[in-house]
Amino acid sequence: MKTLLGLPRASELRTLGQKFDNIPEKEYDGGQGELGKDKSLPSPHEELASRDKKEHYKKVIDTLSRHQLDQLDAVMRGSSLAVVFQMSSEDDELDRVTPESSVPLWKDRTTGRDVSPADWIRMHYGKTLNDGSWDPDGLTRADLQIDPQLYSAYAQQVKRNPKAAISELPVEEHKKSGDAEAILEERRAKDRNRKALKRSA
Amino acid sequence: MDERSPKRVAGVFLERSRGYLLIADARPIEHDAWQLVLLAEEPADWDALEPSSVAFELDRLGAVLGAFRDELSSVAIASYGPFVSLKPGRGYGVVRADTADIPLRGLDLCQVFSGHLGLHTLEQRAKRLQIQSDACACAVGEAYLRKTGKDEVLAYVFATEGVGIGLAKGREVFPSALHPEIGLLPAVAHLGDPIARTKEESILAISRKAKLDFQSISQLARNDAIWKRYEAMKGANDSSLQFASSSKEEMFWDIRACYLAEVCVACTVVSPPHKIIIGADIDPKNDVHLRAWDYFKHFIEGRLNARDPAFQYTELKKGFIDQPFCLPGKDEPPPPAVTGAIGLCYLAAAK
Repeated sequence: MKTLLGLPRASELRTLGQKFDNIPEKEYDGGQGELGKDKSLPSPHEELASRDKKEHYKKVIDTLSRHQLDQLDAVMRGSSLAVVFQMSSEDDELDRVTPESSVPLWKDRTTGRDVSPADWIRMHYGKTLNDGSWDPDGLTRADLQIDPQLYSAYAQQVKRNPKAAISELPVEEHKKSGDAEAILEERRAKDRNRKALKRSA
Repeated sequence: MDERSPKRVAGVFLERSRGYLLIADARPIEHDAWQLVLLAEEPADWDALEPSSVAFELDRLGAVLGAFRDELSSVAIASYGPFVSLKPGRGYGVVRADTADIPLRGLDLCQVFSGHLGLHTLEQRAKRLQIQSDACACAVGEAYLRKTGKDEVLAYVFATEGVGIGLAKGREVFPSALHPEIGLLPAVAHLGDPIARTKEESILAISRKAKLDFQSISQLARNDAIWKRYEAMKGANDSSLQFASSSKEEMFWDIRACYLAEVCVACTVVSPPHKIIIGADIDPKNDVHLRAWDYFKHFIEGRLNARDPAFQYTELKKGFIDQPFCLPGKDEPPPPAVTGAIGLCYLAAAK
């Protein structure tokens, strides 16, 4: 890619670390799908032909986790990149609240497509009563933000199929705009607590 | 006394198949204005039909931006719309998921870049990140390059992979509830346009679907319309954009100019600007602004000849519709992405 003004390239003025320079390539033996050794690729941005680039992207896809592949699948079906970026950057990830260690994260699930987000919520949150019914035990839909991926996946599921919504799960009413300052203060307090907890951990 | 201090800013201009990042130093000058010193650039291009390639390149641009995060005071980002909202709050900077084109459809532009910039709270984002429409960014960039006066209104018609218009008053985006989407305007078909529906076809379409079914300016004036029209008129799909017959070639370039003139007329009758700039990335003859002016003039004169109400003001003269301002030391006007990125740097500095 040529520069348009002949200025120095921003990417050459700062070190970007290894993220874009040495993406590990998974080598497969004879196309049989057996995992071979990892090796480093040269930077994909050194004037590669578009065909080489496509090959490179295919190799990058091979390195993605199951969860990432699910996200990519959603992108391919919906032609929207929003889902990709809901994964967000590592920094963003670090800044998020993680659920109690006893509750597994949606992104770490090994159940694939067999368990829907709604099923997952019933399995890991609230409690199952003697008659087999599910009780949220004080949980609201907003509380699911503790696991952002689950929150988004559930929202997507309900959007696509409103009948899949968990009727027992209360949805908090939006606070009136007059309470904006109070809401902001509440958020700030939560943020401060979260950061304090993270520091102490 | 001017208490503003110099700052480093960045602009990221996103189109359907490419992106462009510009980093600049902004120095305060008189009348609350800023002077930009362009420092570095980073182009990116992608296959719009391949989401992984778009995501990869956007992430790379974000990483490049992130490498400067400790020095950057503010960043502005622009892309095509329509956006859900361009006012801080819910939906700010989100490209509509229902009606926008791929590949940025549904994308939350703040979210894409805020992680790289270390902006994790709404407050941080509000202070250091802003989103604009592509054409509005170009309008501000052009106003900066031309040093337009504080009260002058400049319109920038953006004709690339889509068609848009942006308005700047002085060096600020002309305020509105959302942003202009002139590409959605129903087009009056040029009689010689092979890709425009004929009147009969339009009537048929209306009666069949029982709803208005006009072709829009965007459908008839964006880049892919140029290629479709070329194929229809020449009967070949080479990339030369040249015809054996010069009259046919003239007609070919006139057709797009006619649609862009319709945009200029619409803009002028709603909010008369002091100047209109047409920025087109496919303009081999470098004369789209002159052709559009001819059609524009024809419209005004037609109204006068028919003794219909018409208007006239001082700026409505040759040069009212112009091409983008050339950067110092360059002979050709910059592509819209450069003008837009300059505008974004200016908006970031002024934030």
